[in-house]
Amino acid sequence: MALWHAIRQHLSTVLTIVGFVAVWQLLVIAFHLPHWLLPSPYRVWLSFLENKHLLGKHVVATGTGAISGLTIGSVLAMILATIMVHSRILERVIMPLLLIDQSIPKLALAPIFVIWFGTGMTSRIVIAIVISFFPMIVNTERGLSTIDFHVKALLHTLAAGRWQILTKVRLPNAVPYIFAGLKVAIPLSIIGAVVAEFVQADSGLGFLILIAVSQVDTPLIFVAVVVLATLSLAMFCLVSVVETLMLRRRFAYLIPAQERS
Amino acid sequence: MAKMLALDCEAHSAPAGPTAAIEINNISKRFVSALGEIVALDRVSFDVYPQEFLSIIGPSGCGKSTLLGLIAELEAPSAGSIRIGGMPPSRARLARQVGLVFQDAVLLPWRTVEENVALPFEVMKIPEDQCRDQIAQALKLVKLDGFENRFPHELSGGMRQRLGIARALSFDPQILLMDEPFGALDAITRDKMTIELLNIWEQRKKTVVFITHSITEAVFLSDRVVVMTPRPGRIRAVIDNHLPRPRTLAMRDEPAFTATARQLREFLEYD
Repeated sequence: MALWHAIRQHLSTVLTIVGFVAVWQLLVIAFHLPHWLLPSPYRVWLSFLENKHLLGKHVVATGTGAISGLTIGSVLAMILATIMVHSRILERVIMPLLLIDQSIPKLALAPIFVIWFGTGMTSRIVIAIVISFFPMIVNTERGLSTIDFHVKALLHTLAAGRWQILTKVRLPNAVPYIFAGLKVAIPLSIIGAVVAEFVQADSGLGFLILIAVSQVDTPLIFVAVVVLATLSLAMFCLVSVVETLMLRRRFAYLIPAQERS
Repeated sequence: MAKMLALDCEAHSAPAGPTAAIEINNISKRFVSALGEIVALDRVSFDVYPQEFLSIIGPSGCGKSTLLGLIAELEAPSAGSIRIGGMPPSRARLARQVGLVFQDAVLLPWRTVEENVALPFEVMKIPEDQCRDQIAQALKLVKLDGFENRFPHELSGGMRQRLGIARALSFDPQILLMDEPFGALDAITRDKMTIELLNIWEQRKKTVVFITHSITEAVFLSDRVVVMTPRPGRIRAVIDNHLPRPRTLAMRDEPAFTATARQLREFLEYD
């Protein structure tokens, strides 16, 4: 019963993807498009089979960079958001810095990071940190600070300390916001890692794309892009599953009534 | 000279009559806004006696919620002083003498019914095994036993409000401050809650300061009613309510009730 329910729920998604691939295939056939311009899905699949022995290490390189960057960036953002919520002065110092940070096109800084941190893993991680940091700090800060005035009053009459207010109210309140931030930060962290590889690298899916471009191997570019999308989707799904498990019981009030099982 | 000083001290420390649970001495509260200074409270003085049920009634803008906030030490008065059980509000708060109930129940939505009532004990760092009975009692008092593991969004408005009251009573504060606690409820639930509140008050014998803009509610619940006027918030009258206890909903049609209600209405419409 539950399985049937799950299939029915996801049927439309599956059908949409299948339809999209079918239309793509038909267009390539109908207009006789050369594969260096737009390879058919079948051609991409063949390229995937041909190169799959290579993909593993590139996926690991890009994935490790993105996930490490996302993790470090998120932890830093959460710590800094907590500090901002507790200190007016530090908030006033950090806020303009954040705005400056957000106004700088960070991807344009990628070459500088590569000069500073070399062509290895460090550059990937640093760029992924820098780019995933902003959505995380903005969301966490919002979650920690949008506390109802009356809840504050209640804790005040109970003579609760700052630490107690943080652990009993602010942090639980921020949990849904942190998940929302993560969902924005995941694809950004992958973009960050790939851009580092575009600048200079000796491995990774970004590096693979550069090689494929130099050989006009368009199907391989598509393989790399699809793998990147899959990586992003997998991370997104993982976070969604954790979110559902964590929020299902205690944050059921956030889920619209008709969607509750 | 030394003797005179000693006498002086004695004169000051001697209690003047029965000790009030809350003393409000010449309180003023001014806010500075873009439109200039607003006087929310102007030289307000009254006492609340131990175990008394006192209502404060007045139109919106008369500063009654501000007054409650001053007693709960959410804000400081611009002038005047407040004493709670002889202590300044800051000390009363640290001694957890004050329980607060709002118009909305103000629950933590991610906590179960039981965990919401446990919050004050957690804040006071009282171990779970030492407060379990008090939590169960508080929930029983407001007839929420059996709902311990539900979440606030699964409860009705009246139940949520009862939960808020259970939380305020759970840690046994001497004073209960209630800011229009039934204002958001429908008329039938409101009647029920009023009766239940009186039962709870008779069982627990707390000093209650109850803010309302319902004349019926004020007369039905209170020993005394403070009538306030708006802009600036001042006391117009303090009315003794001699309606006998225990009170029943049927009393609302009796002459004694209607007479007090009329008196209240006249003071409110006095302008």
